[in-house]
Amino acid sequence: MSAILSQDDLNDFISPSVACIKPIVPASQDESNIGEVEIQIDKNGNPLEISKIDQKVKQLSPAQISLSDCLACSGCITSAEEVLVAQHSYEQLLNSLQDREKVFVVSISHQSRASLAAAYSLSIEQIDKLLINLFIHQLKFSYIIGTSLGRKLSLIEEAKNIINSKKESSENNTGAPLLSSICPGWVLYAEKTHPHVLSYLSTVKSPQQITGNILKTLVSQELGIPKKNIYHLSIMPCFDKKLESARPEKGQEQESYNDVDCVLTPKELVTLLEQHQDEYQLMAPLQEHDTLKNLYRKYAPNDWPLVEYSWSNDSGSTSGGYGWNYLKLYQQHLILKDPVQYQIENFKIKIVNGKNSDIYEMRLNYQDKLIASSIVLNGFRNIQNLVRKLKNPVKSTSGGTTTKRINPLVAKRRARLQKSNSASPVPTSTGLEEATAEEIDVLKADYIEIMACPNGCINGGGQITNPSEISEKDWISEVILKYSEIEMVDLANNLNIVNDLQGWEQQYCESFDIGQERLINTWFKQVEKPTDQATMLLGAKW
Amino acid sequence: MVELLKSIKAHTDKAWSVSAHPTLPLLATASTDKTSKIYKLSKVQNFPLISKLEDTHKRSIRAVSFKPPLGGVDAPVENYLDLPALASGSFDSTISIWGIDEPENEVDDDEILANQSEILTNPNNEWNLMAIIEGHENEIKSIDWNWSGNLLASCSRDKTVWIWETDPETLEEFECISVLNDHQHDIKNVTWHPNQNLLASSSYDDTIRIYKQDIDDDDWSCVGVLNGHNGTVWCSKFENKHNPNADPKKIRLVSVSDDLTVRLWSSITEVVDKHIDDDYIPSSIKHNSEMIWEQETILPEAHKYPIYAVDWSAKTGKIVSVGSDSKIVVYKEVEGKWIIESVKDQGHGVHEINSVIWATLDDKTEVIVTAGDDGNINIWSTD
Repeated sequence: MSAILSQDDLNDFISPSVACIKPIVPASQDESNIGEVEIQIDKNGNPLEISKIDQKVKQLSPAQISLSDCLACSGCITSAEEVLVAQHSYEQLLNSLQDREKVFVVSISHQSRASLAAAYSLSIEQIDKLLINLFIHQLKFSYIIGTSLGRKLSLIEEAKNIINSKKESSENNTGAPLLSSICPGWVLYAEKTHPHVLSYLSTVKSPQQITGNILKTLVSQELGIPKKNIYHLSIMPCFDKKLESARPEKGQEQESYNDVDCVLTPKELVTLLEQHQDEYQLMAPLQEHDTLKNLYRKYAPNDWPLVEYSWSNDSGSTSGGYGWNYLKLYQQHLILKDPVQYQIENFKIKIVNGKNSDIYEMRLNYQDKLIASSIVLNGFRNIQNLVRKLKNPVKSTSGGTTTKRINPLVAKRRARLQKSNSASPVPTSTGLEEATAEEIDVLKADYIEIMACPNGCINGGGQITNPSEISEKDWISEVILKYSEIEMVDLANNLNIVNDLQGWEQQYCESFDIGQERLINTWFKQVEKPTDQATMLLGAKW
Repeated sequence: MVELLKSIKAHTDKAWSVSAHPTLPLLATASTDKTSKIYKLSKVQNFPLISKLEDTHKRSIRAVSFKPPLGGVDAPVENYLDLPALASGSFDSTISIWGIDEPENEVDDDEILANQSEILTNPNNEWNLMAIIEGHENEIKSIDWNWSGNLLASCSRDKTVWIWETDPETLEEFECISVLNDHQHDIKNVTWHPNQNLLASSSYDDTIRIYKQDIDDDDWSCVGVLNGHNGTVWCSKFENKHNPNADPKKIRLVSVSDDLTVRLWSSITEVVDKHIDDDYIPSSIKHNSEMIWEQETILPEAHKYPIYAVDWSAKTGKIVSVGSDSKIVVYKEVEGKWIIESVKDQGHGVHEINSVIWATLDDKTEVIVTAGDDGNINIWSTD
């Protein structure tokens, strides 16, 4: 992608389209019969509405667009920062911090920690200590937690989901990959532009959302305060996470609280610190000299499960390892289900590279036979190719006739080429590889982990960009290195943790009367495209 | 002097674009009337209509481009019948790909090859829709094939340039291999270098951007920005290396704009070919294959209104420009200096001229073809 992203550029990699369709709702019904009016601008630049009938002057208020409107829209006016993310700016956060009625809690993602560590040339240990110092002692937050619990629950639920889906599709002979919905950029793009893929999306929520729900519930119980008095800030690698936090829960649009109130990216955190150097410093002397593990525990809510692992990392891709963990958990699932048939030493995972570095497949083989596969797919161009293939699935159904919709000219050309190939070879002037057994077929995988940003979340739109003396590529490698330094507590090698967490989840839902769906699942809605040319032109920015 | 050979009343509404097949005497047109027409470039046969491509796009067709033959124009594959194919880009945000069926098998293959110019341009050939490419958010303004016909570039009001890859023999699948977000505004034109994989895009943001593939990982990125125009850049074209005045050490580009100028830019190729694994070069330069572009000159002024299109003849090295003032201006390079060779007024009467190309008739003479707001396609002889 372009190396010309500026620090203030709030665009993520999938850019929104140009038309905003927030419906123009009249301020009040009885005024709709006002008759013909004229709009004028007074000498101070304020818009006035003057009735042509009785010359009555009315001051007009500017149209407001809130964050949840943004999700209802088919596209927005580029990165009109003020409009879209007004509630999510760091200034808003600082304003909100004035409200001493509220309790402030913060969760921080692994990629953000890696980005900050790389930017300040610190180790993960050092950055974690400084962040706790900053949020707890300077910004006066009450709790700080890593998103590890949310991510592990998300990974476990997603693997369960895929395994079920795989079982069902083999019973019904329907094969279609399950697509991840962890990336809000991808989800919003699918809802707005390619609704035909929505039926393939998994409904499992992202670590951010699951963490938010648990954090607010446990803090609310511990302090005996209602959830709406808790303000949850989440530090995430991209701006689309702000939009994800504003998504209403299914059937509960009237709920009085959101699981996440504000999302800030590492970029914005840096700007906050630069703008308020006198009040807040990341590199301030530490107020506490405790071990990191103790600090993790001290500032987590009391009943946080497996708190010693609450900031730990997971194996697989830097976006959370969804594709990888599914295969590992599936492997364990098979061994547990049938230990006679499946022995651990005969499993092997093979990696098949795709057309570019942002797409690859992982195949789980048992004794050299393919039993499961997942694909990691990053970046807009690969998403384009995926949605195109899903629109016209060309897949042979096993045990039946092959239904292939193919261009009739292609068949003729192929035949002609084969004929002439036997005579004299036709040199290919392209770099296209011949189709071998090693080619990736997105339609055949069980699961596709989709991230909108090239290289995945580690290179999110809100991550801190490379300093001028380091190339973008080298910088990403550095950040990935920091990410890998985060202590890993791998689900596949710690089955006891998988069981403990699942048990805990059930207990949590029961004791707090929170439906499992409310904790774990989200929903999708096709967004209508604007068809009214006038409305489109109104919002269009040339 | 430029003289009108033929005025074809091709369309019932504005004609936006024309494209000539590089080796066959075929001409394609694009219009607001949602159709594309294909004519034979034959004066002796009076430019007959070969085919009308319709009922596909829902809005204006803005750009058409013929695919080069397999192997490229300079080194086409021998003993191989290359069927012509056309891409057309529309305001409805899609690109359609058209081709003809194989000629009947009754005639001997060798005979077909010997007479391909006639057989492949026969009006009895049925031009079929082969594929529709979707992806752009909104109106597509321009499309272009690369020199070997395996890459198709498209640009749109959505400010992006997309590069699609396909198999040039079968045109079976078009895969998106890059989406380039570098421009700040509507992109009016994309054009490939005729001899190598170098792409230029012209935009409403007053700049031209150059794109290339990275050496290591095949990713496409912007390697140069040409600043200088004071208005929308409507069109640009690379110099063909066969141009008699071409300097093999330079890559040159001509561009036209709202600012009424025709500008020439150049980049020295030596820097690009330089061996770059010296240890003392910091890694940011090693990975960055940036090109250094300079504005070489501004051609003598002729247009008093926005200039919409330009083309550079591979045969003679002359440049032709057209625009809102309906003038057709031909420039030539004499000992390194550019002079105006001829100005034709009212090329399409009082109507704007949207597109211009150099083309070759079946008798090998070079002509100029223009498309105007009057819906006409005019063919002009040159000396």
